[in-house]
Amino acid sequence: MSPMSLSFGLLFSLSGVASAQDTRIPAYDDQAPPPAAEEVAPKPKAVPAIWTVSEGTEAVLVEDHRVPEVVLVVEIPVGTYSPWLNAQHGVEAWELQMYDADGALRARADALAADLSVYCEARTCTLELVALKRDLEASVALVQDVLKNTSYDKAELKRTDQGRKIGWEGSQTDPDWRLSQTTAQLLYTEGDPRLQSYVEPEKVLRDPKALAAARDAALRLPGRRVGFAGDLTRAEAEAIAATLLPPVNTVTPADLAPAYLPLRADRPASLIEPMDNLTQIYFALMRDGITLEDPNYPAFLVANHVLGGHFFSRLYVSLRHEGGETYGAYTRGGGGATASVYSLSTFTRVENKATTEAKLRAVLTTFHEGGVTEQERIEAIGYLQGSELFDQQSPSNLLSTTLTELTLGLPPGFFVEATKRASALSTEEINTFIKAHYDPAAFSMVTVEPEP
Amino acid sequence: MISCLLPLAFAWSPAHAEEPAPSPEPTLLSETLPNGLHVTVLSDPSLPVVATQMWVQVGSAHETDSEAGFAHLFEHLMFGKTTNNDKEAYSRHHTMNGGSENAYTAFDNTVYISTIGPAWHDQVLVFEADRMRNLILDAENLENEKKIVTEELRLRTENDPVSRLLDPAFHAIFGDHPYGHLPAGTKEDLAAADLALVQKFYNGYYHPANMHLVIAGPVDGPATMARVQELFGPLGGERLVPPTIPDLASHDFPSRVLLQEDIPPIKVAALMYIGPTMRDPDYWAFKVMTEMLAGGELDAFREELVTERSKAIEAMTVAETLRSGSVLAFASINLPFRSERRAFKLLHQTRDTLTEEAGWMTQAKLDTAKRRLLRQSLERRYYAESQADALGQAYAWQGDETFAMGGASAAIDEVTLEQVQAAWLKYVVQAEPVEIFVKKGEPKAEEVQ
Repeated sequence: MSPMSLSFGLLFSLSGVASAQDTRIPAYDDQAPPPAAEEVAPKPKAVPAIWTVSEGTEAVLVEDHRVPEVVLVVEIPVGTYSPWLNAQHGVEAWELQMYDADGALRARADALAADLSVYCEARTCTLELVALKRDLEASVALVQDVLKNTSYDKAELKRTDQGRKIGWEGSQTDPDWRLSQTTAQLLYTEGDPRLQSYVEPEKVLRDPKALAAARDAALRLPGRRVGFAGDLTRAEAEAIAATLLPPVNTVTPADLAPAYLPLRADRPASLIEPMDNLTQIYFALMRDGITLEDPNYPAFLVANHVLGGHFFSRLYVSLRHEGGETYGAYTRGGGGATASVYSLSTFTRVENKATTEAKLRAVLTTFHEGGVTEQERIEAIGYLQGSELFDQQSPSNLLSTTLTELTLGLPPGFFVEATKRASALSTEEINTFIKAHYDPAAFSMVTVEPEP
Repeated sequence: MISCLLPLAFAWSPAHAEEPAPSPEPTLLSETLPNGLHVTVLSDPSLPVVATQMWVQVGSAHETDSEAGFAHLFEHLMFGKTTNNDKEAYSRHHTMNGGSENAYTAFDNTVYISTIGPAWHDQVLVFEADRMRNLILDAENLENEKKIVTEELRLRTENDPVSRLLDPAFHAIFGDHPYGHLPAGTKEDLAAADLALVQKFYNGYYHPANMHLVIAGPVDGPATMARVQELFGPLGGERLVPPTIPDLASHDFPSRVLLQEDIPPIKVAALMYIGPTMRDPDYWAFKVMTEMLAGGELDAFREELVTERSKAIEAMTVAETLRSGSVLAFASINLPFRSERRAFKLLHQTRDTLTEEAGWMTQAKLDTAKRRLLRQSLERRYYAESQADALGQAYAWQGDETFAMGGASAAIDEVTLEQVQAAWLKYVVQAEPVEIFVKKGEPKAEEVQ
């Protein structure tokens, strides 16, 4: 279902719920699953196996026979940040390849009771199929045929174009999206791929032949991966991986990699983004976040958790529990593959702006000056270690973590190791990082608020 | 007292006997304590975490007019301090051990959720029993939570056009049925809440006989049940039985509703049909029917209206089940030039085509739908929280938690094509839908003749 369908599906959805906590608390980059340490967690149920299928193609298997189901993933090493992929409309070429003119591919997925999805993220494009084990052979054939499809449905291309336009217009009335857009525009230089989500989308290319050619070229790039999870053996996975994809091309384009531009140096101390029809003010006290490969990443994990990573974090206590200023207060971003917007975020009623802004700033100032306490450090480490259990729930969880590590060029087990490194840090070492990174002078205050 | 220990067969039916049997098998232990608390323990050693859910059989639909939004406000108060613990003790226990805790209020239930590693689960039960008995309810805490929930309301329902539509839409469509107001309530409702109402909820509705405790994870079933008996057995008080919610099938719905908001320049038209409750003998045929219509990649309604006829830019089938009935809606998204009358005519024509040329209603499609539902139930096995959720819902809505395991699978497997055809005829072809039209404009929600 398209994003447009989803948003209007909401209108007809009866599962109206309201909850105790704002579920937007996530404090980590999407691509950085919670890490862990083996001191508390039992050994993982399955250990991912990684092998080279052929030159330019790698495979990963997480074997787990609890459920007679198989997950099959094809991942190519370019995504929405790639100038090369964008130049030839490769994103829509990848994302719309399951829409053949007569719907036969989707009908086959339905006949197999399989879930089939194709999507692109910043650094990768992925095809994922989930099916019962007994349908494995037919599922593999379906994946191959999707990757060979040349009869893109022209009507679907047109509808996708319309959907993008409507989706863009819809995002203009979402205050949280506008806040993210404004903070991104403050951090990144115009033309940086990391701004891509916040500029009006280009028209969809409606030339099936060109789209098929773009998809074929992308599929043949070296650095691609095949992932398996669930009820299959190494021998079964090896046999499938060996014949699943066409050979890689020996010559690769020069502009595959994202061309990141320097971060903006002229960031103002504060910025107001006006918006119609608001009864609240949305805050982001923001700066550039550290990256995964920063030596201070383990210290960041602890600091970030204490500041805004849970229901009784410094931000929550000050802004929600003590004064009822807001429903949610948390940190967002940071710890990504590249520098990203890192913010202390909250929202409040319009007339409460001054109080909330003062409290938000005070939390940051106190944190910068005093750092974390020994008890807070211990509790944060407990969180990082204990939450590793959640990553072990399903083989697809483990596969996803492993593919993320490989995509980002991180060593296997990076996230587990990061928690171990965090656990070894003293309170003083963490506070030295906080003193350097959380200087209030490095932060800008961005608000989305009603038009005067 | 009912107690049963049964191995759960995840194999679908003899027709699917070729599926390898997952191992090790989970076991289900179920008991109703003398104070009325129903307890279900699913012991599955393959799960890495333990999910604990307290299902309270009170939701927004049980509120009187003067109590609107209160079930949700009270849910917030349950995270307050007790005579034994500070306000933050429960959450801190989860956070410092990598677990998660939350709660939600829906139309039919309020559910408290905990998921944590097995080493820390016993303390969760201690906290849970404590707050069910020793919660401190005072004016200061109530006033603070009122402010917080009001901010939640602003966030969720005031500052986004589609969300703004929801509350007036439910009022307009469901009228005076208890589903006609959303769980979040309104700012006016919240302002009126007082401590007397707080006490009514805590002492009356939060009685053990109105609650179901579900535990799923790598726990020792009998030992966990014994611990629950020890901790929750002393709970009691004077029970207030939640009012009965009338079935949607008996409600008098409007024939057409017009909604306007500051949405993008499109027009949305929908036909909404009322289906059976989960306790109705027709339910599983209706459930399989909706899965055949739209459970996969191809939505039959969309394929006909959008792909075949190119008469809308998007279309979808939406199916939802609540305790008092289910809903099936066919919706289209149209460009601004499409008139209301034409949009509805196209929806009705498309529905008629699905009746006359029922390519979606074949034995092969039925088999596929069953297989998809099987896969969905199998996938739950990975997640303690999903298992607990299914157990809680099955008991709340069907009075039998085993439906979350083999029971629903067996019921689905028995559905025949003739039963699906009969369900389509009864709940769609012979039924009068509510026509819903949404367009850009000054905010408005009204019944139109």
